[in-house]
Amino acid sequence: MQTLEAIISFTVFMAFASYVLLQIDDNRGIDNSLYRYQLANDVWRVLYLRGNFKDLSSTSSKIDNDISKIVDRTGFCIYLRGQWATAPSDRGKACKAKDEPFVTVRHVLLIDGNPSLSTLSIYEREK
Amino acid sequence: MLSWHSGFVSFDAMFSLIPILLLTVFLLNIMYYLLHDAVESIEAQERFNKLVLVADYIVKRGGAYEENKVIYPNLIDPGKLSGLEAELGSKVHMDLFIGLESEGGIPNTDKECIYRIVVNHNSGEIDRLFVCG
Repeated sequence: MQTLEAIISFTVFMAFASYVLLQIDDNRGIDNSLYRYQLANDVWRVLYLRGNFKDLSSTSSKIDNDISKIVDRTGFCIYLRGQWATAPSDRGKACKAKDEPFVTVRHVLLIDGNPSLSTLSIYEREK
Repeated sequence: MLSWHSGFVSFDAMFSLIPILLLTVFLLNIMYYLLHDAVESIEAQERFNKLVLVADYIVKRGGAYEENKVIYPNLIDPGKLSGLEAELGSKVHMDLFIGLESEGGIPNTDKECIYRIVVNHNSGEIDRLFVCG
């Protein structure tokens, strides 16, 4: 009888201990959501400062070159206006990115005099 | 006869005290670990938030190029960065490193660093502004 009591007590204790230990969330990282938006807006702002939004014709390679420079420096994949922007050697190929974007920002651009909503997404590269 | 029974009661109490004590020690250890973990996590978040704050200030005002009282965010004037480390470091109580990648490179330090993407006003090239602390 006492053995049975001991077993029951030990089981209850182990269940309690496991529950408490499982509550410890070891995946708590630093919340960098604001920083992500700042980075995305930095990309947008830098492209603007470099005069990339003056000529948005599809033949313009200046914006591709600038995005490639940013991609080289940051290691992120940048997706602008529906086309992958990668390093020149990878142009035409999709940047191997994770499924979910790191951050996405939307801005209105004037294309041929018409306001158009443009999306800039930043993805982390797949390892 | 009475004292023989009382001896059993004492033994019983003693053996029940041991698991209670063990349980108490276990709970105290868990609480200490949780508290320590929470404090570390909050400190790391606070440090990161300060770096983000400082970097944002530099990009939008402190280090931004200014002409005719117009400030150009993300267009960094390297000349304005000198002196910012001490000035901002004293305000956020951190030993800061602030520099452009093209001018000083990435600092070889075990400090936590973040960067912002900017344009160097002197060269007109895309650059990274590092803030470490």
